[in-house]
Amino acid sequence: MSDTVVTELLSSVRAFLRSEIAPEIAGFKAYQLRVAMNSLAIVEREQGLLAELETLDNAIAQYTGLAEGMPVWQGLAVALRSGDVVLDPCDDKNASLMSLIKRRTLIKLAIDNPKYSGGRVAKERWGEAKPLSD
Amino acid sequence: MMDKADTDTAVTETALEMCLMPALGSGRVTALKRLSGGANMETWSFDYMDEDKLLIPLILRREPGIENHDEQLDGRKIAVSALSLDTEAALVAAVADRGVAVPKVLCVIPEQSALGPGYVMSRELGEALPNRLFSDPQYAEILPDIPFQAGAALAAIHAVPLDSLPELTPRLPLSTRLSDFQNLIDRFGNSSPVHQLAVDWLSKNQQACAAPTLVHGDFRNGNLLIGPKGLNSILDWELAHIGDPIEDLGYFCANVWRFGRYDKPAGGFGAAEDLLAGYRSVAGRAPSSSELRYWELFAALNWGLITLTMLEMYRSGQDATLERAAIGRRMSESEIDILLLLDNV
Repeated sequence: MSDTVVTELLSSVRAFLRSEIAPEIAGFKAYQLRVAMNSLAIVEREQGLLAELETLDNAIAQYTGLAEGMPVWQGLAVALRSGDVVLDPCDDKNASLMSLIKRRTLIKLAIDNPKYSGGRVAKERWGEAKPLSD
Repeated sequence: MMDKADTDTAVTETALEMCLMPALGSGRVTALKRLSGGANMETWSFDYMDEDKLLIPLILRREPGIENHDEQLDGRKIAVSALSLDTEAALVAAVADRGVAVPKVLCVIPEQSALGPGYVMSRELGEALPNRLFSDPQYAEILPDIPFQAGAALAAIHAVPLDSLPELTPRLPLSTRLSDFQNLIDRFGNSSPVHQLAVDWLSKNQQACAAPTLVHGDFRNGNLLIGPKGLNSILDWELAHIGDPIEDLGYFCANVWRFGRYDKPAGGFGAAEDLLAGYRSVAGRAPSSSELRYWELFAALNWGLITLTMLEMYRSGQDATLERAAIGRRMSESEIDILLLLDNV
């Protein structure tokens, strides 16, 4: 058995805030507490999905030949801005790279805001964001 | 950073009574409460009992001064330059004269006075909060009528003669807006390749607007006061400008402003066709669905840049609150919406 993992620390703090603190406060502070608990939930989800996010980032870096030294998502934005990577999102020949970008965005949204309606629609249209092996 | 307590205490019953005396005669302020606001915009609700013992429900909007204020990082100045409050008040009064449903502006508070700059307007009846509109059964029947009414209201806004607007209403051609977007993308360190794809696509496919009109600029679910009979009043005019009227229609339909109801493109209320039909009933014409989608994509990118602007306010210390830090993680909403739209253009 391991000692406490990070997600357990986070979920125990969230449970405490929800059951012990939330009933004690009202108004704007209660709203802020919900924001705070949501931020903790994001960290918790990121713990679970970080590996998948990195796998996709690596695949994007490999596909586009991005140089190292900058987070991949930002590196791709810079490369598109400078013209080092040219990508017409509407051209079918770019479907593979667009598919990686879509999967990466789905996983990021699953971390940040899994309830967002756009994520549900995207999953229906593109299929679940599965690991790259399939 | 401003001291929040200082600005809170500036709004008192006595200060408001002095300020309203010239416009409404002497009276008493009661039920004063702060409704909302960020670091630089406050909205207050109160009642004013005049000499005839008539109770007038009112709203105060004010923008307390902030020292060391970084203009470029003002959360309201993302896509377009926000109006100053006195220009906003003059614009709301001007559109009221043309039959647009808006609160009645009763007095403008100059910058030099204790409460200023700001203005006081009538407090109209109705509900603006999307979650309440969607959950309260008393609105269930009226919601499907909102798209048509919103379309008709937008056509009325777009018909306001430009020469009746305050001189300081900004003219913002699409090319300016897009270069402002690119500047923000660069300023925030190129956080998203999807944002870059969006601004590139918007630039490549932009069409000059033949006949610019008044544009509300923030016409969405949340800024519309809805009563039992439908649309009562259009709020929040600070992003009004002169530009392409289709912006307002596309913005209203942007997924982020449907509040979870993806299948009801017109603000989460109903069908886009009804919005366009309402618009056509007054304007005699309506944009095509591809024009609408162009501005939906514009609105999706706009939302992404709002989230980053708010995050920057946190990072710079200008508004280092919990909410500002958290909202940066809503950038991925804009990314998914942009990618969904790019599938179908």
